[in-house]
Amino acid sequence: MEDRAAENLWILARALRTLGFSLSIQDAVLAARSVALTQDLSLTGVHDVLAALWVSSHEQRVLFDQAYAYFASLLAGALDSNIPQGAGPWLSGLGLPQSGRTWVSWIDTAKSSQFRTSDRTVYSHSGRASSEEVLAGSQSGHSPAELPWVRRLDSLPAHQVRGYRRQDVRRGKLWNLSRVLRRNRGRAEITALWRQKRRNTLRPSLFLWDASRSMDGFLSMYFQFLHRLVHTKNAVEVWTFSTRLTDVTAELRTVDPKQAYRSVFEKARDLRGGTLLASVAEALTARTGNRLSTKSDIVLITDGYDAGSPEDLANILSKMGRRSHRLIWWNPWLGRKGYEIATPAGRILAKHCDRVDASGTLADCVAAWQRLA
Amino acid sequence: MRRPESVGAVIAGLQAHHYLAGPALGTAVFLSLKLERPLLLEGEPGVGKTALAQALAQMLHVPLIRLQCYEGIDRESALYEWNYPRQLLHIRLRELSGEDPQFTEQSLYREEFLLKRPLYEAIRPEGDPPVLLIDEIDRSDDEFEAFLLEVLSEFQISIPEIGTLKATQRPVVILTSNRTRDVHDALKRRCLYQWLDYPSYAREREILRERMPQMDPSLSTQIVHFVQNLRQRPLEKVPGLSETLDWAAALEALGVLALSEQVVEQTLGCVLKYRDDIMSMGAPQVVSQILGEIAAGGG
Repeated sequence: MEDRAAENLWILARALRTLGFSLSIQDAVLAARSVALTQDLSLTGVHDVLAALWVSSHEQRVLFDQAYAYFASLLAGALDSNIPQGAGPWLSGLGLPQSGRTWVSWIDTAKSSQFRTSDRTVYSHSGRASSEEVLAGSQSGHSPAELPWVRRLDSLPAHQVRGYRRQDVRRGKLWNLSRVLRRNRGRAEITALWRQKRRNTLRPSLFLWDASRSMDGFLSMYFQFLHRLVHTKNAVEVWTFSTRLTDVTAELRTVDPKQAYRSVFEKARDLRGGTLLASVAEALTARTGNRLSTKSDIVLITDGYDAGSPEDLANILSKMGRRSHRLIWWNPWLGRKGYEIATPAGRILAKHCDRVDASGTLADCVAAWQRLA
Repeated sequence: MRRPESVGAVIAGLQAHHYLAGPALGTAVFLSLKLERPLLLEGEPGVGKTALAQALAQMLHVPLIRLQCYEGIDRESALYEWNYPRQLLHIRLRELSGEDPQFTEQSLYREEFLLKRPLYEAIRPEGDPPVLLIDEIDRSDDEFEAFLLEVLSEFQISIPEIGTLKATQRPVVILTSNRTRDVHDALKRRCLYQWLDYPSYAREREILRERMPQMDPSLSTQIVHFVQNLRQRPLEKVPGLSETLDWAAALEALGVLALSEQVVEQTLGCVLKYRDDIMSMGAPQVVSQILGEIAAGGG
């Protein structure tokens, strides 16, 4: 393969790296070798080879197709731009949307004001639109059930915990010792075995959803995720909090999303207030009582901006951590460029939680939920 | 085993065994054969992932070895196990013939006392290297995935009592996943990747005609129209290509010449596999509406 063509592949690979692809120089070499093997140097031929080698998920495929279209247009001189040799940022704009697809615009400060008092579910959040939002924003008549993140969430197995009860099975790791001894009584040696396995139960998961003003931009996104989650086969409980604590599990169980959205925000009166995480966490441990067991997962959805005392917060988080199986912090800002946990409350949360997961997009939420399994 | 020399030859070879592959899939299969790398196929159930491995084995005239993954699958079920009863029998026979016990112990760990499981069979085949289908990898546990990583990167297995056995010729490996969970990145990096989507209307009709050439073209068009229409609806499980083929086979067995409300109602179980889905189609006006749309569309 010509040097220039190989160089172009390397430029594309480097640009794709800025979009989250994990590609090394070996991948570019392998791609050049593969293109030489197929002997098909047409745009679609090279596209098929690169897609087979470099793409590793459906989401990456969508991104790759668009990046490749942009790359091909640049090479053909269709776009008026200079390609800096070996540089990546030229792909970061990612224009050139495919026909039939529209980029949804996320809520910016100017636009969000008109939605604040609205009861409609807005499929948006800060930052770049993800592939599922692109689908949701398009006017193709897709129902929510067809969105990739919904399909993915629905396909995940329920979170289970090993129960202490056993059930009889043909092949199991445990013996039904009493039956084995009873049935073999009177025999010289044990000739037959009966086996058992442990019966699993659903793991209780409790979400503490920060609905304060600083989390305003993420409200509708978390609503979509939690509304869908309570309709899966998991044992999920959801409490919103800002300055007070409200159990909204029953409201989220309403099938119609619009109705559920209205009910949740009618019941939780303290929306978009300040955040008093310590007092809320204390109220939660008092109200959940014995239901909060060491088998429960507690997920704190918050950005870590808190108005209360850091000492109180540390005490109550430490207590919650001891009383639960895992205490996880879902941070919507985590992983974004330039963000670091800087607030005192944030540092305490990071210290006392078992893990901090990024949850800035619906795909992140599903991935974080999957990691909890 | 003679491997195809171009993407076109792969596509033609698969078509000869009634599998219609597009250029992208043909390229992925060709590269998998040439570069000797496993091919990971992802997609919804029933879009032809397993069927590709079967067609590929037929095309290459080699056996297909299938390893069906499930939760709890372990190294022993996938690779090998010692045949303990046979070893015991061997010891007993040696004892009766009065042989030296030390010699008996040494003779116990030979390949003949192994129960060979699919991965072993694929790495040490008796003839040509086979097509190894590792089906539904997403259903296995992380530990098994890590073990596969080792096998698929080196194509060798280590048996402590015997030593390391390396594949003389690498098998063609196809992995499939229904995407119920993410396969680990490390495993993905060792594979070529291809996403299989539901086929378009034209493609599905082409596949149906390829698989069932004896079927009346107007009936096959109606079937494809109906299934494509179902895929636009919010169902628990959208029917895949395999459901289309099952349904077509069922209609042919019943001697149906054209779709009607009664026929659809009687055979809907071939296409929809969830009670809620069947109930949602239960209202007579839904089926008649779809059939009306098909008639209006010229189907």
